[in-house]
Amino acid sequence: MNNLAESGGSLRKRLKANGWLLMMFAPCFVFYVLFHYLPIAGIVISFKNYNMFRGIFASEWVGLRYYRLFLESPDFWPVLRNTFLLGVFKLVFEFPAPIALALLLNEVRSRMFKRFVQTVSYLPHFISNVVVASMLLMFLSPTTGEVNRLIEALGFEPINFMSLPALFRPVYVASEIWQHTGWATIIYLAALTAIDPQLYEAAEIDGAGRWAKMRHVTLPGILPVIVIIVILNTGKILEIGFEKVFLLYNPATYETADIIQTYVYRTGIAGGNYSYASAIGVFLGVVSCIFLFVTNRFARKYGETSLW
Amino acid sequence: MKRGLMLAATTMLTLSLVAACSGNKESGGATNAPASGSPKATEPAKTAEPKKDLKLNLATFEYSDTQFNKDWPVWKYISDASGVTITPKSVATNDPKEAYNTIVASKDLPDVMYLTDYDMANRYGSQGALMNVLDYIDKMPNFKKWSEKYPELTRSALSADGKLYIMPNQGNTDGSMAVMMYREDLFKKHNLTPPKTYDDIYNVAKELKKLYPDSYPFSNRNGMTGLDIFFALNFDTKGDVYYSYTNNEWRYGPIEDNYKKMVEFFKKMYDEKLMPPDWLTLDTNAWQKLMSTDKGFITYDYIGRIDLFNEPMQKENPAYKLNWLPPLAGVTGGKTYYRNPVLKNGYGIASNTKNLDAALAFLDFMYSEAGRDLVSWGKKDVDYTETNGAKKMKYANLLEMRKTSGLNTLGSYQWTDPAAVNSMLTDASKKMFADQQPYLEKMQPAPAMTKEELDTLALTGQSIKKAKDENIAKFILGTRPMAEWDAYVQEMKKLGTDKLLDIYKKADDRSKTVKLGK
Repeated sequence: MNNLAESGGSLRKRLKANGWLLMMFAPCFVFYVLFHYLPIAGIVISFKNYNMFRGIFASEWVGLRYYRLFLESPDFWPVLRNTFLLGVFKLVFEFPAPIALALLLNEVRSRMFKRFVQTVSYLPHFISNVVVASMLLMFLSPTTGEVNRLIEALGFEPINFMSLPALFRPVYVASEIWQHTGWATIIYLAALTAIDPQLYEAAEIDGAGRWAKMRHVTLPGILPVIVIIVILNTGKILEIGFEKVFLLYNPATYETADIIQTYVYRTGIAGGNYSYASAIGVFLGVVSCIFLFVTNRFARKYGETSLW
Repeated sequence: MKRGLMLAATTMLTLSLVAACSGNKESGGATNAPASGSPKATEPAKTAEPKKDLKLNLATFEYSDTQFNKDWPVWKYISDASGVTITPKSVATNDPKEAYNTIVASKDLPDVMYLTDYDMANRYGSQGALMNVLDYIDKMPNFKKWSEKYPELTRSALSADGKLYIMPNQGNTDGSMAVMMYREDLFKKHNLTPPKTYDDIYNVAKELKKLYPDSYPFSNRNGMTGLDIFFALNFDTKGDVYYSYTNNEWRYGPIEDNYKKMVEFFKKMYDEKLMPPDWLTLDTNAWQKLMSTDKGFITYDYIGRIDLFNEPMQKENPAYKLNWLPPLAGVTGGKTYYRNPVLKNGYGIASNTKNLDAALAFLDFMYSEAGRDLVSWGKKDVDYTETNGAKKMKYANLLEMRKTSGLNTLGSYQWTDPAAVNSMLTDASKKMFADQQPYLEKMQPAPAMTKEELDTLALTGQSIKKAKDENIAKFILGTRPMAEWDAYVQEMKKLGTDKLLDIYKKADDRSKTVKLGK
């Protein structure tokens, strides 16, 4: 597509020259406009007192009322803090895991074993959050849970996992790692295949062992991918899946577990207050954007890879 | 979640765009309704006149255990008897809130919608989606008579500005009555007396714990919600703002001394492991496991659960018998109260309906004695038998009746005769229901709120509920010492409990001044 700009000439000529390319691009374009850009106009309801029956246009304007309500709410700081901390822990602990697994898999010699491990580690990704949440509640239950039977067998007191605010984040993050690590290795494994085998041969001739090859060839080889993934994930710090937290939390763990998403559900969606819900949604989007820009800036300043 | 919100926004935006394009012809449908006192509405109605070509679309929803069937006999019964041909359709299973939101946003409304509760109707009504039925009450002689007979019920369905967007419900309790139940066979085996007070529960639970060391004698499944909807009443308080008939004022339950007594009871049970340590998260499955493996012996749940345990359990262990416990003596000295299940399902008429006459005729029929008998009992010799004036349903139980005939399913009733469902009960169950009656709490006033009040309730109310749930959980789990109860009360007041009380009081005063009719 590069020569599109360089080819000059009239627009018609350029369109003609690239007709097939543009046609192939068209469905993608339509999809994004229809499902990602047009809906952005929907944020207008966060500035209105949305009346479902009269429609968005006929609803009365209320300005920043719902934004103010959210910022002034006594729940604002606690839920923002919980969302941020959960997101940061998720990023810090979840993001290195697939890299480690991919590197390990890369060193495995038996193809059969590698495939077997890959398949098994992908599986949890396909289990729905509802099932994962009930598995956690079941296994960790102090009355009937297997984990606590084990703890008791070792001679300790059973732990009431899901009632302790201090344990909510670790349990959540651990289950996220279990669910998604295998699946997340795919992108790193793909990046690994792109490394030129000649580099390994050259390293071997220079007398590098497996460890040295990993440090000096493999890791630098996939570094651009790692950086991109980190930037993208940072943008998603506040975007924590609603269902799983909602299914796992309870009043005793609100202190650490109540995040913006669950708060929106309780006050906005369940109460039919869509204007309030979308005001918070917009707020969340703006903060995520800021995160993304900041990380990208750092990446550009201190490294060679960045999103733009 | 942002995506989810965006998606919701998208759906609404597209829907309203579509609606804006297609709905222009009839825009202003909401405002076409004649104002109160217009000549059209005061025309005298003749009930006996033959109603021809009246038909309407009816939207309702279903429960997962009784899946909707448009061919159920009940629809034909109603169509034949009322002269209005009804085309029913189910829009959702269990909870239709989202489905109705989408329908309202699309403006393509069915003529009559069976809504889940009065708040929902008042929200749609104030947005212009539903018709104020009071404007046409003169065309509904049966309903007019009914509303004079049941002014309280009619009033409870009114919106904050005195409009009737949803038809009031009467007669059906839907089996949602709850009782305390216990393992009668084990109590007999060990010579234990069934508890009569909460102290008895504690003492007998201790006995049972000695007999079954790895059990949790007092096991309940509803977590924090259970405390509020079941137990708080027994302690003469409630889990939220309520009207206290003893003190004649609005109060916030969870900061009262009675509520503290309940928390102390649960704390004691929790500390001595007489109830499951994971009571907050114990789900139905885990609870059933405890109750069916001799690990839970006393529980508080919906009446229907008794049979759901006894029938399968007795196949393995014929001695197994879960039975209901007579109401306990009041903690505060007086008598205890039990939850009075009030259904608030009702029909609402779409403001842009083209079949208004049909809708009015249909709704009016549902408030006639004939309509009530028909939707409660069905047809003689088909659905019920009559011997010496005593009617009895021909079905074995409620579920079978619903599945076969469609009687007593959502959207098919508004005013019902509870005797029909009761005629299928065993004598023991009948006695249980009868014994329970005097202990049912007096119905709470449900004042309608304005949009601003609802906003405040949604936001401040939510902060308060969260703080309350969190703190009560901590008191019981012992992560916050009981000694800090007074500090907790102050914190709750600071969050604005008085503001909530004020809203309820004002709304209540306002609804008392509303006049029915014109």
